[in-house]
Amino acid sequence: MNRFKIKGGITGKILRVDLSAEKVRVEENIYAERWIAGRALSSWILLNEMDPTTKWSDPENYLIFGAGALIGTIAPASCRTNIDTINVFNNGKGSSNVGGHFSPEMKFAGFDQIIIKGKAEKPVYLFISDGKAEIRDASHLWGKSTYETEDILKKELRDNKIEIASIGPAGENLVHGSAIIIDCGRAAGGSGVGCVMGDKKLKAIVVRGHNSVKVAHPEEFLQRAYEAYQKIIKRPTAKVFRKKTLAGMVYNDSEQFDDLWEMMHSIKNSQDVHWSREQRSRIMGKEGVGKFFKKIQACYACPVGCQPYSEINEGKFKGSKGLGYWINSVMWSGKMDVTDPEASLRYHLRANQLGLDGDDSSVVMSWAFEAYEKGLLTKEDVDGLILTWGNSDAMLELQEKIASRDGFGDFLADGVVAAAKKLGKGSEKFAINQKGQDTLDPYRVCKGWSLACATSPIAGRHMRGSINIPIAFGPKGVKFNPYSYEDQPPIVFWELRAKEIEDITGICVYVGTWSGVYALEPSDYVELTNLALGINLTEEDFMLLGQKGYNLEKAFNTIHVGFKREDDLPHRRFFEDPILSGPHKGETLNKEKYNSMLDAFYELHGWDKETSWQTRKTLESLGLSDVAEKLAEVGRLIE
Amino acid sequence: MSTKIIKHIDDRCYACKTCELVCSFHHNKVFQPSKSSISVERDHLNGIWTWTLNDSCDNCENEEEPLCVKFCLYNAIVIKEEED
Repeated sequence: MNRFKIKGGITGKILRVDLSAEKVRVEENIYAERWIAGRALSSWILLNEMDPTTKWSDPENYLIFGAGALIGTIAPASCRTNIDTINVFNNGKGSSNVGGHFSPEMKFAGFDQIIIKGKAEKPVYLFISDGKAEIRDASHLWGKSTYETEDILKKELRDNKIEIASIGPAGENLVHGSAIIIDCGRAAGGSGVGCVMGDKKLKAIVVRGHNSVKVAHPEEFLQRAYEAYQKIIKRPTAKVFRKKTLAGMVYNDSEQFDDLWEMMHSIKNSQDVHWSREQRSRIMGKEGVGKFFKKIQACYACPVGCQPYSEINEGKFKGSKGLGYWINSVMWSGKMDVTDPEASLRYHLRANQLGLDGDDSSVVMSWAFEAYEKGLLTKEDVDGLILTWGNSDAMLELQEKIASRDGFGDFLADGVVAAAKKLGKGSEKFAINQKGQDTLDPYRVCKGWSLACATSPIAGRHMRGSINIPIAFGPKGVKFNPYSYEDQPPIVFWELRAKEIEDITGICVYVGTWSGVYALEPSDYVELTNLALGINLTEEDFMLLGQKGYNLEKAFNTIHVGFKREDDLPHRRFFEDPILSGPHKGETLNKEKYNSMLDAFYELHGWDKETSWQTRKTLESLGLSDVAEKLAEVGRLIE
Repeated sequence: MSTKIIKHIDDRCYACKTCELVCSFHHNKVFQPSKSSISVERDHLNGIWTWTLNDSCDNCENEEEPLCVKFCLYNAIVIKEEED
């Protein structure tokens, strides 16, 4: 087994917090020599320390904040925070990854990882600074929005440079699709990480510190980092991106983005993927959401900048303001066929204030809209709301109800699978989920996107290898047509390993291999990591580490839940219900071809095709014999 | 006589803090904002970023150009020559 002798970059310390025992403890980071940092390290701790019978709401569940290896250095866009736990929707692997300025300050506060277990008796927040931590009373913060929480904490601590990760009322009320909010505008969504934090009665984590991040080869590192900045900024997309943000760049109403639009959307609860140019124009044309953008804020050390700051200064949403509006925000509105730009922006900003994961809540809300359309829910069932497609008032009111578990909002607050189970009447046929978690993503048009989301260990989320347009990177000699089944498996297999590396280093995918600028690639990550940490990785080593990290998440699911091949197939709607309109009208997924794609994907991984489970041979060849033993203990290893 | 001074153009700034961080590297060969001559504060709720430069700035002696200028790819930090 490789053991890295790390000489820089990381802090070498881990903070353990037990909220039940009201104790904190600092320990040496003994895991970095095997996993380096970030997601892979957190995945290992979860797999290694969590009993297979532990459920998300047990006090034994961990909530782990992890900073990547290059976080706190000048490496471009080294800003991401990884948050790992048990997924509230299925008790499998939960993981979320978010930008902003939190994890660099976490390193400056002295820690690579913060591991939280237990549950506080009353609301608390964590104050972490200069190698120490305190559990503090948060009674006065409970019930407050994430905006209010930040405002109060900055004032009472008299420090504008603290960084905060907090939950809103949604997380406090254990709404399953709750997020953890950073910078009042960066949402760590997916897996219900905000719900886990609320269950622990942990309102916020505040980090602040004076610890220096040292790198092994300072001058060479600075030079290599500068070259990486130049590589990013020379990409033509970077210049557009920073003027308009990603959402502004892609979601304009020009013909240029017609194809991309069809690839990305899940209109009317995934019945359709098509909006006319006129509908698109309402959201992202000249009079769309962009007219409320005032300026842009960048994440830590990012030379691109993709986060708009917006203000609505008139009309019924006058006074709404704040950070963020992404491609996903447009997708949320599309789920309910809402094309009103003010309502769409308001919906986004309220999600951040309430600490709601907009992906999850939009899925369950659009399910309710469809049930209403089909007559399975009446006006009386839904507190008098009129859930017709495009009704933005109903969308916004229902969002508030979910966050506070008020009336019909409580019916929806545990996610779409739970809601459909309660309603019955065949509504599970359109309860769009993957492995039990609400999924916003599109599955019919782009086959690689579909494959990556369906097989994702974090259940129907697109940050595990999804692809939709030809990119400059990937395995050599592979052609790529996003609509074909045949081209996808090797590219998804490449991208999911690259993404794992990005989460190990902490560099954002928007400057990396996945989306937006497409500038940095594994060779850049290797060189920056070697110079910062003083190690001697090759690109092949790093991709292999990425593969190992992905296998940890797979093993966690197999051990804790027992997911099998059938759980890697998309929801039945995508096989059965044809797209309603637009250039892809009439298309569905072909099950036979999809299964061929799955076969090829499992073969690349070296997994068993019948069950999808990992084999002893593959795990041992990856140096993961101990993972194989864990699977064997529960009888889920293919010998 | 003229003096080179570092100027910040507020409306070009994206508050990425790269300048703050690279300045600390200039002074100490490590990354730590408190060792920087620059401080960036962000008011997320009102969209206000505040950039300040303290007296410890030495215009990056021994560098071809100040590192904050070199690394600010938003061109929000520039060098101005001012008559004494």
